Amino acid sequence: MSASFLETTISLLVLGAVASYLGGVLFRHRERLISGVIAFLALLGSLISFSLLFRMTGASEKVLLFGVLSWQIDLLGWIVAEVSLVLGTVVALYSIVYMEEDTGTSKFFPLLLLMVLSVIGLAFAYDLFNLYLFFELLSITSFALVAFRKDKWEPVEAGIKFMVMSVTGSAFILLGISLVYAQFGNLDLNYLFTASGGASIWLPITLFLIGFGIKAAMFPLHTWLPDAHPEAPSGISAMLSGIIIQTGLFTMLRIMLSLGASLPWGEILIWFALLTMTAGNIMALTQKQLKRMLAYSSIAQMGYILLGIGMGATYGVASGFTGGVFHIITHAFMKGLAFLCAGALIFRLSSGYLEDMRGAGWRMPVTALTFSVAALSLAGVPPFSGFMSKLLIYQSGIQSGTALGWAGSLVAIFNSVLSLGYYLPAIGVLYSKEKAEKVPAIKEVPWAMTVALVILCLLTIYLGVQPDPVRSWVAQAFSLLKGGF
Amino acid sequence: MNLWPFVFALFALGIFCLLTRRNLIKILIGLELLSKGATLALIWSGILRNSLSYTQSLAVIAIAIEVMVVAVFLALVYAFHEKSSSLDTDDMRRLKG
Amino acid sequence: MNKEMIPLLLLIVPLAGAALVPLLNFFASRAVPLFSVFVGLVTAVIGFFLLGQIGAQAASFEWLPGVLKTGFQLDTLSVVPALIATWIGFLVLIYSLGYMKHEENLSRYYSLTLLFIASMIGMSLADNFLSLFFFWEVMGVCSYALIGFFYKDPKAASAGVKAFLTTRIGDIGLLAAILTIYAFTGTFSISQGLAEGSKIALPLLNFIAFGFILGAVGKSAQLPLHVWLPDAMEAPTTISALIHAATMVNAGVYLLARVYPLLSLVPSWLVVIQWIGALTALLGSLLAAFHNDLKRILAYSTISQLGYMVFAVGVGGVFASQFHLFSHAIFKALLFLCAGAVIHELKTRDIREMGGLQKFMPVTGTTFLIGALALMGLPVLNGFFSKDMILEEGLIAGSWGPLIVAALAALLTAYYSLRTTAVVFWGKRRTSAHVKEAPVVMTGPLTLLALGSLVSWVLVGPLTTSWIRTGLEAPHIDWLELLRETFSSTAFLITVCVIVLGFLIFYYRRNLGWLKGKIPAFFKAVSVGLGFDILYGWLSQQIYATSNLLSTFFEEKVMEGINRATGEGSVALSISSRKMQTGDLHWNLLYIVVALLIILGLILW
Repeated sequence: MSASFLETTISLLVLGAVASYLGGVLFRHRERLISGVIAFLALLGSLISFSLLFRMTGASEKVLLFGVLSWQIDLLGWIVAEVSLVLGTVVALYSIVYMEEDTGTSKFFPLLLLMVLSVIGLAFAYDLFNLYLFFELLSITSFALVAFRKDKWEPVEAGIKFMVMSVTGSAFILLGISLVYAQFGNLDLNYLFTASGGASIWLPITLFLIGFGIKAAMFPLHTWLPDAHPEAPSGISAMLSGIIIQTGLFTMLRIMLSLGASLPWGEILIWFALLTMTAGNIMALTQKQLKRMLAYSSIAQMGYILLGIGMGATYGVASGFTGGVFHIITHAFMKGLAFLCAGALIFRLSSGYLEDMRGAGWRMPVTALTFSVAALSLAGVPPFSGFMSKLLIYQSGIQSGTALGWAGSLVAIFNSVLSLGYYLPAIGVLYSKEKAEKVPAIKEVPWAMTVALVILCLLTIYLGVQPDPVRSWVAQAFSLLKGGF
Repeated sequence: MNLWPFVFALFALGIFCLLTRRNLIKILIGLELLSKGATLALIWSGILRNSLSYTQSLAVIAIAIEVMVVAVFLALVYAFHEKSSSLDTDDMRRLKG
Repeated sequence: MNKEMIPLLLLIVPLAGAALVPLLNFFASRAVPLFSVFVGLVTAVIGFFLLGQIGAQAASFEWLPGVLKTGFQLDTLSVVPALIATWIGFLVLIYSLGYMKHEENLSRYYSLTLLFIASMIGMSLADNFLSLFFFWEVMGVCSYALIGFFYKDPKAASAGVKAFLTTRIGDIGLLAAILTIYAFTGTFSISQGLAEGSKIALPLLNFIAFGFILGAVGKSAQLPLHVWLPDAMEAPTTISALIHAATMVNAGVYLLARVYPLLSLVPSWLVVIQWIGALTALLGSLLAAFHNDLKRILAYSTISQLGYMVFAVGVGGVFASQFHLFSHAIFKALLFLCAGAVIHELKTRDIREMGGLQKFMPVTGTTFLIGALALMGLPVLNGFFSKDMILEEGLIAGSWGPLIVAALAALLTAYYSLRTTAVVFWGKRRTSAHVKEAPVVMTGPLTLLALGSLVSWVLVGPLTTSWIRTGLEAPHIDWLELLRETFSSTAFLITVCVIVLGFLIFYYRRNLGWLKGKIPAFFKAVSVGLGFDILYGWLSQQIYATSNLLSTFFEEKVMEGINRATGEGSVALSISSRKMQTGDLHWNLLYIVVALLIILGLILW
């Protein structure tokens, strides 16, 4: 059963990518619409079939797909992949309208589908080389999407910088994989979990931490992110910040849980987490472009996720892991929402600078309201979802009962307060009394975009008011884990 | 025989190249050095574990991926050159802060 | 519908209403009053269903795992205040249709009233000290905002502030008590906290009891923190009826009843509670007997009646206190609403300018009389039964001192009830204003409440049914037994005696005029509220001046400094750290190498 649902999901995504491209090419004059609608429908279909895969209980299960692809299904992977599908579907809907002034949209949507597909692959692949493959697929699609507007200077520059760092990281990962193979003669994570106990594998672990750390924008490996995320089309920014960097971290988590038992990787993550969130927040404080500010805020939020996972790994507090992964979920929706709102503002104002957005909230009420929800949630204000997930993370530090845990939580709380220092002014700008030059002439974005915003906004509020059952799924997912699976 | 020193030498060279060269094509060569080092490591690990055919197949896939990466990278470099008529990384500093 | 969801629904409906009213105000401001009444009706209907849920297990929500699990506690003790809030709230909302018709800012008024109803429900149903405190505070804020509703009137504005600050003293006590309990039992849950309370050492228990009593004294306007309630009469009369007579002021009594298991562990505090209650009852009735402002008379009367309830808790009659709370809510809301109708017509609150209104406002006059009779405790109105029960409990407990004081207060109560009714509705007409009966949206609620005052004691049966679940001892009795027991009790004699005496004093009040010449000092003292207001006025002025000085210094020097330092510091830090993002590819790559070295160092070290 599971295999057939998963096969449907994958086929829909792959065939959808092909159909979306062909449809766009064949009907040139309606390229964006045909291509986008096909992609949206394919994503919606795969979202439905993938949701049917959900099972609460039971350990992981190996499935053979299409007779060649061997994956292992577990709840944790399902959660991450489901989030990416939800976000991908919303982004596809949004982009149908948003990409209106771009050319070559028949390539945009297939790339988006492949990006989602690679997240699913990363969620379920249990073989290190398989993971590497999907990781590369993810990277290549993101390169292409970041630099999608290749007739402009900034996206190309951002794409090159992103690529150089990311490819370096991939080489490190591949070297790490080779070292693991040389030592154990097997790349199966389940095998490695049983075999690696006590073995000295510091070099591959270091290389993995660096390689995936680049993807996960761990300070000081974050430098590509503030360039790449703002320059990508807003839908893609939402995807990148919402789920792609988290997938990098998630893959790292899988590998570390399988391999890293003998090394203090959790503690390293805590230290990097504190650096990452502080650096992200401080650098976001004085940004003048909305999307760049949000990109730095993504770095800060990655710090929270790292902190939760680090706490869970170091001190074995369940709320750490739960908080970290729950924050991945809530962050996907709230940051996705924030970027889509920023995109909507840019769509109407054709400027990404905050000062050009003064008073736009009065002309674009839905966008501004949903943005306010997203920003408050990102800052961790109750009753929005960001508060719930951050709270679990603070709690994990306090529950650990150690000096580092307490200090970590305090730094995280301090960072939340610090982050209000730029979220609130951003909201204030939108609702400013005096209006910027272009503002009086604009109107609310088309319905396809507002629908996307409202869906994510409702998810953000819902997870804040009623974190269960999603939170309990995450907790359950971790209680089912043995090693990486 | 031990190939690990060569692997790490390739990596060191690649990183050195990435850190010091300003030309984008040379940056690409630096990246290639890293990738080649990784591919070599893959082959060598296969030899060590007596399963060369398996790692060879992995290496071929890795190289195929690398080709895609290079293609995308060159496309970006080309696009950049069209705008700036330069391949120097010093000209590529619009995004900062 | 899932039965467990009823209490949640009861909380959410008025909350949603409160949130929707300002929105609705944008589109159709004229629909706001009707919409609010509709919300009130829905709440009242849901409240009716809640009655069947007494003793049921209610849904609880683990909001923050391990820290805060909040849910609802459904026993008689908690359901009664919630029901009072919904039903009287609903009647008051209907009444407001007429009473507030010509006021401005109606959306603020209705929104706050609905919010208040919601928070009263939340407060009384909370099974958790933290949410109890939260709603307790929300009530305080609503009360503050509604007292100052006519904010253009400086008296109203300062009365709001006074109420807010005075009750804050009590809130500090409550919070301290809650946190102490949490510190020693590790739980915010009320039932667990009470169960494990006996494990707390006696000195701390004393402290906790003191905190709870302080909280109750502040909220329920007991001696010596009663001064805010008469001033709160600057609020619209509907609000006085709802918040300052029927619901919020009862919260303190409710709190005492709720934590009675803890209080009973420290008997000395129970004695304190008895004396506070009895003295407050006496003081309130004494001041009510000599005041000429109609609403203030009722306010002092409320203080006095709340004193009875506190006294009842002190002598261990928790059920009696709650029963009186129930009766009092009905007849006092009635009295206030009648007063509102009168004030609405005459545009004055001074009873010396009223008189002979019975002829012009027959419904209002009759219902006021019923309310007044219930207040003085005439058989067989609801006030009679509950007050009788309180005196009975006092007799059983044998605490003679406070009991005599309370009986004296009952005597005065009888006197001032009659006096007020007589001056306002009977006798000569002293105003030339054109007076007519209030509209039906106002007399309707009056009639219903008057009916309630007559028969609400019949509900004693359902109220006692599940009383045992509160963990407090009280027999289950139905209304027939109540009748029999009441009329055969010793307390009945006392009640009858004081009422007759009260009648006599009222009848011969002219002949008592010589008293005024004999002890002028007493009358003078009474006329200024026994000096409490003067003393507190002076005190608060001093405190205000000092704190003003301190806060000016603090704000201008310390906070400004800190603000500047953190604000400018983080901005400077931000600007300098943004230089890290050089925009140069090689730096980015160098960071990778640095990170590699750091991680290697951390792992190998």
